[in-house]
Amino acid sequence: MHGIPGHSHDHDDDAGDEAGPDDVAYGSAANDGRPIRIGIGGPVGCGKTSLVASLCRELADELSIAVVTNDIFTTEDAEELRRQGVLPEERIVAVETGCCPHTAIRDDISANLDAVEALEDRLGDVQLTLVESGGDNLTAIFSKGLVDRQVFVIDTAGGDDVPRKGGPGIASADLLLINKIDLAPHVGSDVDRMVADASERRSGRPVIAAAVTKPSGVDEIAAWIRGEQRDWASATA
Amino acid sequence: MATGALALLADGRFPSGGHAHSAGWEAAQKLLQLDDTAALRSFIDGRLATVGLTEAAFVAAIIHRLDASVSIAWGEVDAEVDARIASPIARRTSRSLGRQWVRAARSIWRGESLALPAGDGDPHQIAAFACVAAHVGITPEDAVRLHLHHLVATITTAAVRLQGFDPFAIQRLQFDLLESTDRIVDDALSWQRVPWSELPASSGPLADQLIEHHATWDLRLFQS
Repeated sequence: MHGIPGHSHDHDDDAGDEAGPDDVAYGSAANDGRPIRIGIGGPVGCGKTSLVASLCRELADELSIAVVTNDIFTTEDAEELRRQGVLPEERIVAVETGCCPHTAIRDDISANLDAVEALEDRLGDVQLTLVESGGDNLTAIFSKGLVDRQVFVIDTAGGDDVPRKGGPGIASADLLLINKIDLAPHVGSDVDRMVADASERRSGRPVIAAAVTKPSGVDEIAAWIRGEQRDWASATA
Repeated sequence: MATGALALLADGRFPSGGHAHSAGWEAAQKLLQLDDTAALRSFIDGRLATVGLTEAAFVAAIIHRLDASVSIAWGEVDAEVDARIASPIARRTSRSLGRQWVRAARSIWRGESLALPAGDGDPHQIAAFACVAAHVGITPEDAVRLHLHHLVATITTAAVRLQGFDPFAIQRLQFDLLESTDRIVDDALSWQRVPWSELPASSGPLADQLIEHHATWDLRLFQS
């Protein structure tokens, strides 16, 4: 708490840690040793649950994964993941969000933190926790108090003007996924334009265009997640 | 300072998990077909007069003891609160919200000596809330008023989200409730020095049953 350069304290060691207002760093609680938490957000129907399912299929053999889903209506997404059998049932839990999915991932993250911590504690060996948001709008980003990295998902069928419109999700997510590129010709969307518009808004942060339900559709995203997980694990080891 | 702290804790943006709950309204509204603001008002009146008074009396009594530095037998408080909540689902909800208050408190007032309910499991919401209120210097009277405000606002917010009521009409409804709320505040404060086991034990059996029913639904928007 005494880390402000040039701000010295003239007291003996027994005086205790008297953090004055100048000393307080407004951050989240310590993260030591826990697994990386990655948020998957984006509008309704963009393919968040499909992405989580595909990532689990791709990564479950190499990483111990836990999944927390957020639904507007009860536990549909968790049920879908369990039904697809992408992870053992006990590795998936659902949080109910009281009509407001963005509140649960951004403004009041209590219920999600409860679920994430309980799941990580119970499983013990988790290396990657995926938190899937309920389908929401372009402004819905995850709190840094809940996740360490976030992926924002949009899709070609939602309109190719979406990246140009921007918003916190598109501009600030650590990874932007433009999903359902296989549908682009059928809905009159220009994938190249979407990627170009998105890149312009993202100051160099990565953009991936893919179709996550197709063979190899999730490869590039899985590689990004592997890299983030590896960096996190070595930094907190 | 205490008034400022009161405003912080009164703000619905304070992150203590309440936004995902309807305090029984979703169940009552759907099962009893409560479709207008008159029914909403009746439901709130009922909750205030029953669980509202019971919880408020505990809040006042806890803060009174904390302010007077009287040691609290938290196990006894816990058991007495438990005994006043008939529905196991409602008990679980109360503890889950209590855990979220503890989380908020430990994170926000990190490094400060903060009296929180002692014990192995998660505390009830009112116990954790009362500790936070005492820590930031809020009086028993203001804390009780605040707790009742949150009870009412949890219900009205859910009603606005579920049924699209006019938000101005809902604020007027809440304003009109202040007079009857004052009487409950006075009543609750009169129990501050009374032993835990003798505190009010009003509850609503129908509301408890509705809460149990709600937990079995496949599709619901609120956790409770």
